[in-house]
Amino acid sequence: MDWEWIRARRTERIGELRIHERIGGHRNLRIVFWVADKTLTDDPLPCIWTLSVLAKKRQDWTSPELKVFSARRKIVIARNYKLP
Amino acid sequence: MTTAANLIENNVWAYMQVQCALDECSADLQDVVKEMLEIFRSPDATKDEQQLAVHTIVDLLFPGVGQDLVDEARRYNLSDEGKAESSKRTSEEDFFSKQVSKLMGDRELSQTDLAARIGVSQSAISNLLSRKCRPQARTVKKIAEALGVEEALIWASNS
Repeated sequence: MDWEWIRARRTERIGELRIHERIGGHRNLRIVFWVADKTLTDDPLPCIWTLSVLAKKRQDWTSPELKVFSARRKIVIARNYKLP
Repeated sequence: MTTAANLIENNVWAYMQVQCALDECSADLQDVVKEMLEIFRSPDATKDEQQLAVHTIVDLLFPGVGQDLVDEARRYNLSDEGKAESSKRTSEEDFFSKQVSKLMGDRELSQTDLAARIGVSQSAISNLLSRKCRPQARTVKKIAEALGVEEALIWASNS
């Protein structure tokens, strides 16, 4: 496993965890996550939220996929954090 | 009540629940739903991308029940009733798409031309012909009028 920030969503602190093993017949599995901005919370530890788990089918994320990740981040923030 | 009427009533109930849930969302989250709808409607979106958008809307409007709905839909789709309904809808949509495409060709009408005649966008026509969307009865009527044919020539309802 390894991970990196999704370039087009780096400023939103959204990254992808690559799973190299084949699981349930799925290859190129990715866990897309958001690292909660510490300015949003008083929690002492960083909080990482899973936004999506999916099999990546292309080299780059598509525009709709990127929009979905941002949308899911907004939903998590709205439900769990108050914006400053 | 007939099965078709039941189906319509169930769909309206579902729509009302969605609308109520949407009304309860903040303006920001309503914008998120609009963004996801744009993905769903986009003629360029893949099935996977549409599914991601739909799941996002379900999770937004009905937190915690998304999986229940998906499971319920899967159970229905796998039932005899679900399979029969699915087959009927597929056959209707396939007939519609082939007939409209043929009639457009005969009349040398582009998707843009037909869209202009019935007052919708070209992408709406594209979605209908590629069977990404199921046409509403009033749209079938408008298209039949625009093509100068009887509705029965483009929509073979088995119900």
